[in-house]
Amino acid sequence: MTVQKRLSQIGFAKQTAKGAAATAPTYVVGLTGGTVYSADVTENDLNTTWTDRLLPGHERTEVLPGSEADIVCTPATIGLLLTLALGADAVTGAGDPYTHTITPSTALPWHTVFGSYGADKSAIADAKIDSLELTWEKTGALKAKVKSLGCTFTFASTWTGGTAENVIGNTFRGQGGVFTVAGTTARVVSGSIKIDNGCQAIVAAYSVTPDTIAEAMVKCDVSLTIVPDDLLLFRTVVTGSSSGTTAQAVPQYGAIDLKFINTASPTHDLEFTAANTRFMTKMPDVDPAGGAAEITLEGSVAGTFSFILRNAIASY
Amino acid sequence: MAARKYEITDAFRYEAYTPEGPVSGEFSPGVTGDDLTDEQALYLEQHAVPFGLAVVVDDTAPPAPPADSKPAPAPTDKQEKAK
Repeated sequence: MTVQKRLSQIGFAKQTAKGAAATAPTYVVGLTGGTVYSADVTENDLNTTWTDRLLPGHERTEVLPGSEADIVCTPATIGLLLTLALGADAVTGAGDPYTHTITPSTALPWHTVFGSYGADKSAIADAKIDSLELTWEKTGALKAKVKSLGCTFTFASTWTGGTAENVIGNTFRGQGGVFTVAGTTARVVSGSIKIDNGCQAIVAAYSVTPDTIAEAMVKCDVSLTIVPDDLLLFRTVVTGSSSGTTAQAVPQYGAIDLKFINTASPTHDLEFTAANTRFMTKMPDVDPAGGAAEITLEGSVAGTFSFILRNAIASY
Repeated sequence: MAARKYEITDAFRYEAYTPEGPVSGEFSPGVTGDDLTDEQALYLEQHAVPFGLAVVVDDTAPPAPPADSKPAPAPTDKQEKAK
């Protein structure tokens, strides 16, 4: 009997506090790749001079539980993940669709990650989301890579439950959405939005597993692959305006607005807005083979940003 | 926290995590300000005003006169001379 790689799910639940592990996931989803649970073990040679040339042994210094899962963004789960990755959620509306305005807070909530792989199950408690990256290609489903770092690893967990979110009729896509850069619609063909919390696992002298997870500054980077009609975006980045002729001495900022829609349930959508994004790009290379030029706009968000999610979930 | 006034357009519930733990609550439509705790005011500044959930009301401007009020009378000659 082998281990069937397809039989795998991952679930997440917000904890009420550190040390209060959730007993069941709130939502469970399938994966497109990645790991549902892992433990990065650090071991070193423990060596001294001696009367022979043999290595006497090793020492184990760290066991870092975590997961790094590639998933499809589904309406309920992505709201929980964004809340876990940013920390603040304001909800308006008295019924479906509820509008969640999810924004960066000064700290992150704790959560428990539940994983299953073949017949094995695990739970990683006292976790924080280190990074969450949303990606899309053309009108394909919005996907996410979510990386959690945790403190407590429980093998042979017996977890069950959680609302299972399948992908059919349950995805966000760019179809009918909004893709504006500096207030103008851009021919965005693919892109990514990455939230990086810079989490650090703090390993104390008394335990090989982390005692806590500390978040750092939150950084939000946007990458957009654009097939432009002209090179004015590059000119604007360098000169500060589409009619500029000389390089400006300061970075170029502008707004980004990206909206994805659940086409099977059009009142449900996900919109990313960042009013103050530093733009950076390069002139596209020439090519003797010809073809449409692409530019990659790299955006680094300065200040705050938001994800506005409309779905059927009243609260997380 | 400086006493500012905020106008809430739509009711909303909120939860935000801080190093001291989660804060949560609810705001109803209307103008609020004097009754806010520092924690609530900070929440509005960081998470509501930037995203249009609340609008800062300009409380430095003089209050508008009632609609049926008359303009103040012009100073008389005697008053002008007294100055």
